[in-house]
Amino acid sequence: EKADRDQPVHLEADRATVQDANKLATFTGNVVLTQGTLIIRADKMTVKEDTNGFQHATAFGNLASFRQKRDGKDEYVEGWSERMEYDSKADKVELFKKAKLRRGQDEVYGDYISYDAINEFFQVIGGNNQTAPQARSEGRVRAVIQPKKKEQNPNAESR
Amino acid sequence: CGFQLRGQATLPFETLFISAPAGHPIGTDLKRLVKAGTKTRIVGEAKTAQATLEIISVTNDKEIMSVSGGGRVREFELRYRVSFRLINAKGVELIPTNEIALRRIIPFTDAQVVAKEGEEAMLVREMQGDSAAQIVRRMEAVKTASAQ
Amino acid sequence: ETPSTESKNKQERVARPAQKETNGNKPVLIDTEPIRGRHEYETEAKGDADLRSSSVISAEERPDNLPESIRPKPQQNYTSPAVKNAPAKNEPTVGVSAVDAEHKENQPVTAGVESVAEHALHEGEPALRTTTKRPSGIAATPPQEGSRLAMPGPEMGKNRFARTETDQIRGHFEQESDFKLRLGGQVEPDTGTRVGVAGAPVESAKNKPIFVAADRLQGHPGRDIEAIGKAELTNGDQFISADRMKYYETTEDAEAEGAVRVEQRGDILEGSRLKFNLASKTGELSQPSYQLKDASSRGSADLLRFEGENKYRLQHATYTTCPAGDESWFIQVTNIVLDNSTKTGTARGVKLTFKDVPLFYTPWMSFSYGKERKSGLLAPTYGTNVKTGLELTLPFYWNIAPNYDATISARMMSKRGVALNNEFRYLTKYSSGTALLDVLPYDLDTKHNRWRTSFWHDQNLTNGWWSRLDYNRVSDDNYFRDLGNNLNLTSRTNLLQQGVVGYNRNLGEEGTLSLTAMAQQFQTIQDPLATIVAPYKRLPQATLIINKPNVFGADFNFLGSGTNFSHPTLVSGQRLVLFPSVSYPMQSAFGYITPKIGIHHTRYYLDALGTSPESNPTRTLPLFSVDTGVMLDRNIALRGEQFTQTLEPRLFYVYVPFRDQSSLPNFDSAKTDFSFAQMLTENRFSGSDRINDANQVTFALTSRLIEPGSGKERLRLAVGQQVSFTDRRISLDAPNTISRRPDFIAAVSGFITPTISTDSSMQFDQRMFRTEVVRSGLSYRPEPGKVINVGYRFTRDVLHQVDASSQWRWAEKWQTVARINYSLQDHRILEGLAGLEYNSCCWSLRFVVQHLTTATQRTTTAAFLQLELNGLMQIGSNPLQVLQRSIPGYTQIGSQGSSPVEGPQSGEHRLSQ
Repeated sequence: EKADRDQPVHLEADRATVQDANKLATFTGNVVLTQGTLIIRADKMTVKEDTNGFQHATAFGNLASFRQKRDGKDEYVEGWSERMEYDSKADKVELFKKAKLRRGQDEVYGDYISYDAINEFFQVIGGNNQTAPQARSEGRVRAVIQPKKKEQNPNAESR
Repeated sequence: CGFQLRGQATLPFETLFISAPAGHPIGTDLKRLVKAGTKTRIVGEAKTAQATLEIISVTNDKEIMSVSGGGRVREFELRYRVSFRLINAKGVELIPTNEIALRRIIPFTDAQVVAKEGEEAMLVREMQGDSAAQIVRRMEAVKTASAQ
Repeated sequence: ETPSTESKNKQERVARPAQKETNGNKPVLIDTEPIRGRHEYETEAKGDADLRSSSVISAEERPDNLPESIRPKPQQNYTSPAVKNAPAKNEPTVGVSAVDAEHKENQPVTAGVESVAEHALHEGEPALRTTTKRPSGIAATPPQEGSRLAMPGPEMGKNRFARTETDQIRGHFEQESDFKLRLGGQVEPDTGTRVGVAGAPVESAKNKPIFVAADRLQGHPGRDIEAIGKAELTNGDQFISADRMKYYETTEDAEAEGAVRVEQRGDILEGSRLKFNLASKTGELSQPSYQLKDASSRGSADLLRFEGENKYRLQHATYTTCPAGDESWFIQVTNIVLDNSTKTGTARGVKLTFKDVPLFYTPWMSFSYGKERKSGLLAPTYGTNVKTGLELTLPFYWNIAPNYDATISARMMSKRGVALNNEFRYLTKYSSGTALLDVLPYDLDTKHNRWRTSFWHDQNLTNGWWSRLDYNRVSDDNYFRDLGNNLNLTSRTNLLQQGVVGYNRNLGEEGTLSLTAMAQQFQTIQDPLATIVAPYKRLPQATLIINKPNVFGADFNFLGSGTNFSHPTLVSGQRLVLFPSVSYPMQSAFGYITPKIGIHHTRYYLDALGTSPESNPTRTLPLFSVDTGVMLDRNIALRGEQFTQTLEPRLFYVYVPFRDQSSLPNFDSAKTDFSFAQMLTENRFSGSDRINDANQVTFALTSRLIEPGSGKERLRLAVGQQVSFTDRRISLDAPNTISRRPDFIAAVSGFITPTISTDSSMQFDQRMFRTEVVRSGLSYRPEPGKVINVGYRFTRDVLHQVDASSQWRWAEKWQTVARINYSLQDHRILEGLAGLEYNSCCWSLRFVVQHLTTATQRTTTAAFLQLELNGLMQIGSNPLQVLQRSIPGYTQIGSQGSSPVEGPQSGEHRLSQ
């Protein structure tokens, strides 16, 4: 949700090391970062705080995952990847390598996925595309769109 | 010169059912030949028979063989074709579907069109007897009833 | 249809005119048409009896159910989500939906991730379901079904010549209707009218997941997704690829640009821009070029409009069935609708171009590319003929119902005007028939109306009763000679007009009883230069034949017939014939002796004729015969091959006392040909009016070479000698019968070498010491499609001819057919025929030249050309078809995908139950 940007960021982990000099904290072991409805889970995460307090987190995991509620909809967007960059100021998540984004039952795969929560815009880029930094898988991105039930209200969660 | 009397033919099955098109005389010819020439018994239906001889179809047709100088027919060719197959109780084909085709020539003049009916019927019946004999001889050539 | 071998119960004989056992004037109708005592039966509903069609009449190929055939793409490795058979409410069973994950809050995160990973594995790998039933290649055109009256229709016979009087002239050539009528028990749904696709209930494409792949994806979740760079979208059996593609989830619209390629069910459509709605399967593809699998056709257009699952509509399109790169023919249309459910195409504003030459234009045209019989135009035939001038025949096939059809052709003749030939066929559970009417309203030459009609009906009246009607009539004597185009028509002299009702049943285990009542007469069309005496009319004739074998070891046989013969000029009257006989067959494995004795009683009630008063002559005479034979065999080796050779000597003695028959009329007796069949019977005259006096013995010796493995007869030699102890005093003074009688006969038939076979016989008169009859034929058949036959036929004072015919397939595409029948006696060609057929992969061209003797000093020369475009103009029957059959050993090599050897006639349509 948009409101997540102004929420405080909580972090839990088995271990944490902090280097105050360059405001860099590294958490390892079952790391969980929550900010409002956003939850990021990873095996290892480094968090950097910029001058005016916005965090920039880089998560690593054997598929680190993130989950965030969509704005005004009772629906969640989830993502998985080996490396995840989160910029709390822009409320934008970038997933690298074996990236997968899912909304309801629709899913998108690729080497690099960026999801801008504010205007709910995602971008998926394959490996051989120069914009994706160092991804090098066979370069194709894929999406699966599940058929919608026509009579069901599109935004109601179909449970 | 090596010729001996033909021995009792042994068909590789004791009971045989002949399924011929209903009412067709080739069925009676075959029954008579099997009874006379072999030790095999003819039975009433396929269930109890060790083998079934299926006469799939019998057709005869007539084609112009030669015409006179004035374009009138002088000879017809009568063709008689029987297609048959032999299957054992389990439905395995001992003789796969195949066909015996015979032909006879009958001279013809238009004035005797009515009379030629009798001659044509005689020729057809002779071909029928001939093909029945050939079918029985083919059955005699089948080695074992329970072909794998 | 697997042959159902359930045996009909003994009593209820299926109504087929059983071939009567005894001789005498059996009401088996022969005359110029096939033996009406047709024995075409089948134990199952299969109608056409020859071997070939039994393999052909496979169940009508079920229209495929909608195969989910996604063209396998190498780099796509989708596995279908486990949701393949999505539960009703479309909830994907696989995914751990977001809400679930929340409940498992207290579970360690890794579990969540793991299940998610496993989920991803599932999700990311949609399996490619390729269930294409048919090779998706374009090549396989659906094989054409054979065309015969399937059940229980008359035997169309391999050769239309054999067809009954009801041979019809459809178009110039006698075109056998080649369409298959089907009579379902419950009338089989005519696939033509059934909309939608049969087969397994098909998941509508709507609730199928959509897979998108590209170099780059972007969009708004739940609203739209844009794929850039080699974009591909797969939905159910549809696959779309393009440079860029956008998909709107809410409206399920897809738009694609740049090298758009759509593949569905084997059809490949390419174009520049596509707008397509995945739900309603409608949309447009601009500048399309297309390849359709079912129609095996291709072409390009300005616009292709998808109209539902199975329908394409193309604007300003070209259409051809020739493979890519082969521009032999194509049609340009303003618009064409291709409906895959009924496999039919309807085009408007059609311009046909063949080898860059525009052939014809038609505002409207409909054709069928499937096997289903489809009303529509058949391949036209162009030609010239001495009698009828330039000709064009346009047959139109009307598929009324699975078991009714009609073929109407307009035959335009420059010298005669326009004739309309109609043939209507029908098939019901118990009857089948053909009605034919050819009308030439105004013959430009003879200035009046000429017509020809023939009606044939076969009825099974159940429990043993059957009936058959066979009526043929023409408007004038020269009808066939002027308008007929093949020997089988032009040689007609007596047109049969007959109705028969019969009853057959069994008598105990093997006995048979058959009763037939018949009315028969002929329309005799005279050749003015060679008039003949019209045959007697039999109005009516009743015949009873009883055959009861092994009653205390003896076989009883009875023939009784009462006939009313009438004739305009000759003596008319009634005749009663009673001919009981008994024989006592003593048979064993190696031989038999069969004495037989019969009493032949005939009584006439003759009307007065001219000077001779009424009279009731009678004749009663006994017949006695003994038939004995022995069978010997031995094994021999010939040229390295093992054979069983049989030797079958046979002796046949006949004694019939002389009875003066000069005062008896001759209604239906004639001299029979001295053949192996005839010389072993009691009477050398057919019919019942003349019983020969005989005290003769006939000796016959037959030797066969039998292949031990299969029991097949490879070669047969036979000689026969008849010795008469008294000189025969009964003769038949009918016109042009020869009094002399051959008494020695020799015959050989079978394979001399694996490819050369012969069938020759010779009759010799020892008293006059000269040959009476020679009939010899040699045929060389190295492989199917290649046969050469040569024949020499001589009958003293009757005919002296040589005959050569050949079908030769020069190359994959070229085939020639030729026949020449030269009369040495008349020093001219009686029948000459030459045909050329070129079968390219998507079209065939046939050319026939023919020369016929139609009457004394009257001949017809005709030439014909037929162009058949596969899959567009379904072929009615090709001009060669009728002639090809006159080549013994001819193999049908259809152009429309029929198998080389035993394939069905191309384009045939079958009446089947």
